[in-house]
Amino acid sequence: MSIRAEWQRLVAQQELFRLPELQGDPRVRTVLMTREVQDDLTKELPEGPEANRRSRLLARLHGIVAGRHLVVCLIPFEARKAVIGRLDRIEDAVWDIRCQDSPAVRIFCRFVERDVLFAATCRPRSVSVSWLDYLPLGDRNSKEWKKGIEATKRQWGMFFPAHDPVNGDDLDEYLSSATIE
Amino acid sequence: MSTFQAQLLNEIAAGHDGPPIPESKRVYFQERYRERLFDFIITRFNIQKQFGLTKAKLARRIGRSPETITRWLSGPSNLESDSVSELLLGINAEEMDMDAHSVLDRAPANVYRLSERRLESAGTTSFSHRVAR
Repeated sequence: MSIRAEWQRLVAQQELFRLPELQGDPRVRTVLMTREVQDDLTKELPEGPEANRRSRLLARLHGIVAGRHLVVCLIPFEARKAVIGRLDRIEDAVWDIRCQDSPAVRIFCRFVERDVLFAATCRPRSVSVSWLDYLPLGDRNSKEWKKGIEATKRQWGMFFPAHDPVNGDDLDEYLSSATIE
Repeated sequence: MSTFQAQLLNEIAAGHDGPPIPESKRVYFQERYRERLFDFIITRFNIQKQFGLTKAKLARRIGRSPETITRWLSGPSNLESDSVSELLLGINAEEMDMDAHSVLDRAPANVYRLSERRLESAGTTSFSHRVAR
C-alpha cells in the first residue's frame, strides 16, 4: 500500500487526525496529528497566556494547511525565525514546527510526502507549559530533545512501519511554497 | 460548519451586543493576520526576485539595513503598518488595497485555483519592466 493510501486509511479509521482548515481557507497541505497532539490542541484551557499561546500555535498550523509561504531551516541548530527546522541528527528526518512567542512550544514532526506532515508530539521549549505534560526541551543536547526525537520515530514506526519519511536536502521534496532561511 | 469552527466563532457570530470575544480567539486572528500578511509580502518579493530584486537592493531603496530586511522577510512577525508600506513600495511600487471579508459563513475554497489567485493578486510584471515599456 502506498504511503498516501496508508495515511488516508489511518485518518478514515481515526487512528490519525487531520487538522481541519478554517472554512474558506484552501487546503493545500495536510497536517496529520497523533491523538496526543489533537488532544493538546483541543483540550479546554482557561483564558490567559497559555490559551493565547496555543491559539498562536493553532493559527500557525492552519497557515501551514492553507499553503502559506514557509521559511524552513535545513541545518540543525541554525534556525532563527524559520517556521520549520530540521533537527539533529539529519538522518533521523525529524523536524520541528516552531512557534517563537514565549513560552515557545515545538511540534515534532516528519514528512510523510510532499506537503503532508506527521505531527507526533508537542513539547515546551524553555519553560513548562501547563497544557503539555512534558519537561521543557532546554539545551540543544538535553535528554528532552532526544526523547522528543525518539518519540517521533517511535510513533512513526507504529503508523508507517513499511515506509520511510521524506529525507534529503531538496526542499521541494518536502514542501511547496517554501524557502530556505 | 465544523464543530471546531463553530466553537471558534460563536462569540464573534453573536453580533455587536454579544458577549466579549475571548482574548485567546482574538489572539488566534491576530496570528492569522500576521501569517497572511507575511505570505502576501513574501510572495511579492519572490516574484520580483525573478526580475533581479535582492534583499540588498530592497534595503537600499527603502533606507533600511539589510539585517532589517532579512528579519522582516524571515517569517511572520508583528510588522508595523509603516514597515508594510515601505516593503510594498520598495518591492514593486505598490500600496495596500483595503478590503475585509467576514470570517463567518465563508464558502469552502477551491484549492485548485489557489496558484492562479496568488499570481493574479501578486502581479507578474516588475515595476522596472513596466517603466521600460
